Amino acid sequence: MTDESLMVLVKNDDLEKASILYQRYKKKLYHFYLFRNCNDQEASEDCVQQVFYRMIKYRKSYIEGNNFGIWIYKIAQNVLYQDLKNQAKMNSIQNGFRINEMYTAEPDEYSTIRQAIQLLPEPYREVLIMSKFMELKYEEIAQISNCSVGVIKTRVFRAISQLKEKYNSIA
Amino acid sequence: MKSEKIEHLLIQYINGEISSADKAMLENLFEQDSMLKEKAAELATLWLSLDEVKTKSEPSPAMDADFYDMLQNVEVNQKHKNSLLLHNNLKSWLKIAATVIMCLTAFTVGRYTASNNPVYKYKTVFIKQPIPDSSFNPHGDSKRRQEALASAKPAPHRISKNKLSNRHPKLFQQLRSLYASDRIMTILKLKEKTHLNTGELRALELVLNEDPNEGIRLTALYTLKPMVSQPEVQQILIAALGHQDDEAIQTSIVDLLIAAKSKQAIPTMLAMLDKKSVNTITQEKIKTSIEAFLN
Repeated sequence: MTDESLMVLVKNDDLEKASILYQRYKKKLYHFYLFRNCNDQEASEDCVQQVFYRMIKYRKSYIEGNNFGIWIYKIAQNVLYQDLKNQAKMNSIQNGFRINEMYTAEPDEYSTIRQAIQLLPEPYREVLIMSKFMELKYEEIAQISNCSVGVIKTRVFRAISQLKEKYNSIA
Repeated sequence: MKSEKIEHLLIQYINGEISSADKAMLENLFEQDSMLKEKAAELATLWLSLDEVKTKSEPSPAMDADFYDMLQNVEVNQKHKNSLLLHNNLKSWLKIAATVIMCLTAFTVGRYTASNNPVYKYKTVFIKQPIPDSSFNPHGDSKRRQEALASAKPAPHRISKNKLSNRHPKLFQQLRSLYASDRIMTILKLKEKTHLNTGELRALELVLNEDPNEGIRLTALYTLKPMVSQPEVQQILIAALGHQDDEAIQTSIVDLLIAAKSKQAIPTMLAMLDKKSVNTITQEKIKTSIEAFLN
């Protein structure tokens, strides 16, 4: 069963089907937040929860025939912006006690590559995460970013090239 | 080849989405440029290491537990909302049904308890009878009075109402107007005339006998007053006396007849003495007048 047909069932109050969509998208969304959220695992899990909560709450707004991946990605983006706003507020309150979580994460064999991703410029980091971690197609990313597929391919290539450079500089 | 095109081919090569034709083209480029080949290999290794990063960073089981808790809560809320909606709908339907039942009950009860008697509309019909035109001895007994009445001369030939209305259609139409003011105006116009013809007199007689308004009947009497010495007018007044139920009009007619010293009116006035509806003052006046006529 496709994601779209499952979402139509959820829209028609068959909420059981939301669990199938959750199983299909939980890792993608988790990785999306993990590499956008400075590797904060708990915050990423909270964001994933928020995405599925909103998906169920606003299920009636889903238009049949629309790409479910793009729709859920847009929800994820909104949740991310909300989360970033909240983080900014918290940081302003706890200004003197701020600890950068990137450095609090326990180092492992992949910590260097995670740090390198954080150092990428925003447009490159975004397309890399969408392509690699959200597993969106170039056409879908182009539709979300409102640009051509060629531009997306170029950005992905440059993102991976720059990642290599950042990785080498950190390592 | 443009560098942009090479970038597109390289990214497709790295993630394994490259077509066989493009792959062959790229391998040709690798043979020509060993640096490009080396770069492609490095990027491919990094790309694969990102996959490993993905597999190493998995969400905790607590996230699943939280999701299923949330889903269960939403389902419970949804069911509660649905049952509430159903309950409200049911309540509304019950109200409508109760209203319909009450209306039907009220209709049925009303139908079987209401009176079946038909509604009658009453209409008063006056039947006019000619009054004998004869003199009468007031001192005679009732037998003699009856004989006198029986031997009384028949009333002079009168033109029928229909004939009159055919001759004076406008006058009769105005006297039969729905509006009292129109009828009074018509009578007052007759009052202005020095002489009234038979048709006009009959029209006034009709007013005296049939008009429901006392004021209009009194106006008709007022019109006839200057002509009361005429026997024909006296005849009209005598005939009208029997039709009057209003004391003021009865008294006015009696006064006019007494003033005219109309002996023809005696039988009719005697008949009025037997009527209980005629007040005592009028009856006394009639008695005094008749005695005065005889003396």
